Amino acid sequence: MRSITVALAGNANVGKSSIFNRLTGLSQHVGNWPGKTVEKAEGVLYFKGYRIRVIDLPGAYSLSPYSVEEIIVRDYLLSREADVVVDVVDASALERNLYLTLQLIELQAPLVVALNQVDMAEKRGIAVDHERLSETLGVKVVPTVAITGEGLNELLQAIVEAVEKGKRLTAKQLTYGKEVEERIERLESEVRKLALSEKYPPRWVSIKLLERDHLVAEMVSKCEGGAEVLELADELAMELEEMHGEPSPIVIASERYSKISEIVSRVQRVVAPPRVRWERTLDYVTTHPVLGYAILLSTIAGMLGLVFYIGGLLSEAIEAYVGDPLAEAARALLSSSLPAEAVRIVVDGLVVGFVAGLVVVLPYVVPFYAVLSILEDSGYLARVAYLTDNLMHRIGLHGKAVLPMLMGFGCNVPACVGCRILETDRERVLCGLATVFVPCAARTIVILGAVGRYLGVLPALSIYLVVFLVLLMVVRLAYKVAPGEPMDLIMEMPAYRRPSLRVTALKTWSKTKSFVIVAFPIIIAASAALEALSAVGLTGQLVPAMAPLTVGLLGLPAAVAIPLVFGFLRKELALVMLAEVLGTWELSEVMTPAQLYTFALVTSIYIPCVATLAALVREFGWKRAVLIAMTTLAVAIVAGALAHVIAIMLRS
Amino acid sequence: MSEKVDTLDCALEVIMTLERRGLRPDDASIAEELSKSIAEVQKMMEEAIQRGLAVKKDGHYELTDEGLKRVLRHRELFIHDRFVHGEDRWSAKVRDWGRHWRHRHGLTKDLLESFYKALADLDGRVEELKPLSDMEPGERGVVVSIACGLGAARRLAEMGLTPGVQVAVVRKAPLRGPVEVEVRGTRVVLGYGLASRIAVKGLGGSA
Repeated sequence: MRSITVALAGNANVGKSSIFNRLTGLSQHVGNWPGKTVEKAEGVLYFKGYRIRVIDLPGAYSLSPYSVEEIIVRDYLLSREADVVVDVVDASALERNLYLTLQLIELQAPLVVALNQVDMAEKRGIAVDHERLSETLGVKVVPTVAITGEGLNELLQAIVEAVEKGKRLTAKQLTYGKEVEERIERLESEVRKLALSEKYPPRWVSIKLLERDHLVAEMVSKCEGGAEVLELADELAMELEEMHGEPSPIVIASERYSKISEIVSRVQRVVAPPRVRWERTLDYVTTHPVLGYAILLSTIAGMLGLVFYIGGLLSEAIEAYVGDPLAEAARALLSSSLPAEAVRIVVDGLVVGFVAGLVVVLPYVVPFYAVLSILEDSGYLARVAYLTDNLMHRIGLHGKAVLPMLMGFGCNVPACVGCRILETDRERVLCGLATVFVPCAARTIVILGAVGRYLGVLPALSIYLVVFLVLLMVVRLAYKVAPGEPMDLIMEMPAYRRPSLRVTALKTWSKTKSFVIVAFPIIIAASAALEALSAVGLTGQLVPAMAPLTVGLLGLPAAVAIPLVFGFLRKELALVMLAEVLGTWELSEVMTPAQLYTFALVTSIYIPCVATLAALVREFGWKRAVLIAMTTLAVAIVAGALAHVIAIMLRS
Repeated sequence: MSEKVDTLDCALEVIMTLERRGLRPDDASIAEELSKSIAEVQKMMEEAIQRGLAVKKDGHYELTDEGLKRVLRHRELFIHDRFVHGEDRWSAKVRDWGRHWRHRHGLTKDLLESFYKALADLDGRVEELKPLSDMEPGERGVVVSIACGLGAARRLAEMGLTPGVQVAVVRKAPLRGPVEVEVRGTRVVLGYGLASRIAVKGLGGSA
């Protein structure tokens, strides 16, 4: 069987992942791009005797080298691995979408255009003549509706035809305005003499050099004779800048857009007034200065409530029907053949660790992924970002960071991974730092169990307040010291659309799968390691060793050293362990209200848990992950000590 | 500044704009641009000539070097007060403007150069410009300049917000929240800080 590799490229919010999910269904695999923390989704399908491998490239608005996603898309396309590149274009926002298309053409990618969401365009009264667009661009254009699967057969047909034709489907090169075009051509004739012009299209290299693309400049500088070319490029770019009074990347972007306006005026007609009343009403209401916030608050409350409710149910059910029997079975199976210590390590360590992942994390993570996927696909999340941008600015983040922060209430692990939606490295790290302070489900259990139960609702709420104040202060400080250019919010506001159940299910499934792969090994390994430590009797020494901190600084009973250390493994178990080491569940009998408060506060702030640490390492590297973890630890101790001091002052 | 000086500045700006467009500014065309009577313009221009800011040749006006300098300085002050500080300030105190921009506002030499070029190339009067963040929902305008870091400028350009493009404000979030604009058939949300650095020439219009 012959096989074809197809890459899907396109802007965000154009239904690219819907097309991907429609095409590949359950046969997909989600991983990471090598060395990058950007999701790589891949799947396989069979069509007319071909095995078609589909790669979903990250969403990109451009191919400039300033965001990780865009570099990935570019490098992948330059590798020429894909036999066909499908550019998914949103028919209802043709002008902005063609910006990427033009760059794909410049890159001489073997292109087929999927003109997606033609139904939505139609509803808005926009008609796009796909045949004329095809003629203008010189590539095959197939109208599609990804949500319903309409046109996908034709798209596959076009892909196969493109391959069968045998030759590279290079579109016509579009010419720029005279001033720019002349300079491209002058530079191109020099670039052609370089060795790299065999590998990369010389015209593309020339355009990129004029755009002052530092990665391409680096490539050219390594070639023989590259220095002269760079000098010429700089000179020409400067001429452009002088003529237009704008930096040359902006000059070229403007040129592309004026070319696009020309194309759009030829192929697009506004045929009728938009008839999307419900959409406009929904848009109006959800962004309203009063109603919008009311809806936002109830959505968040409803979402968290739902997730915790479903999570709680699932959690109990799994514990009772899977967790306990599994541990029992393992114990029964092993106790005859292994020494007691080893059984403990295996059962309490490995098996309980696995069950912990199953019971605690999954029940909360799965509904979270599902609900968030719905919010994202429907377009509501962008409204949330719009409404909260102002608030997030006070912390030093912007509206887009609200998604990971919300995820953090469920579990910090997906929240850390969620920081990927931010564009720059700086913003991602700041957002990662913020998310680890958000009290997750496990910490909520501790706060409610230690403070809510014995001291009442208000003290419990005050812990949340303190935690958020801490978050605010730490992130603001980090905002000041972190390197890089602070970025304001620049976000596309997508139109509302009905989320598809199928896509939601597939997304939830694939994200959960990749979460399990990351988090489970760490949870299990750490759990076994700590069990092993206690088996050799090291935990006994922990209590006196940590006494200066626990008793001296925080004013807690010495025994809390154990739940504090083991809390690193599973925060929600900190409470159970506390009851165990103190020998009673009536915590108020053995601890003063101040001690309960301090314990809950410290537990809520320091390093979320081992799985979160693992996620931090994966997203930001060891150095920054450890830095974040140590920050939380230091802040937790300071906050705990302050609480202790205040308690003493109140008493006297 | 008195009312009279302000209109004088406007008249000088109009002369400069008309010259840029390759036209010969005379009493009638200046009056039309400013929507004033010819008599008023004549009176104003008499004063301008008297102060050595303009000269009259074959019935049309030309700016002297002094006049040109004055227009540029006027534009610079306006942009500084209106866009950089967001309100009227005492920019009269500033002595060395190049230094002020570089040290106080962190403009690099390159950016400063392109800023001055943009000032000189401005089509129309500087008073017609306002920050995107000051536009009301439903208002339309043309982007004239974008004064932000290159990273943000490039991202904006990729989203279609290039100099010269028409934008319409869709809505604004309360309390200096972000601004949603329609540009090239799509909607883009911009943080308030960024929106206040985008200079727009209003075209009017309403929802």
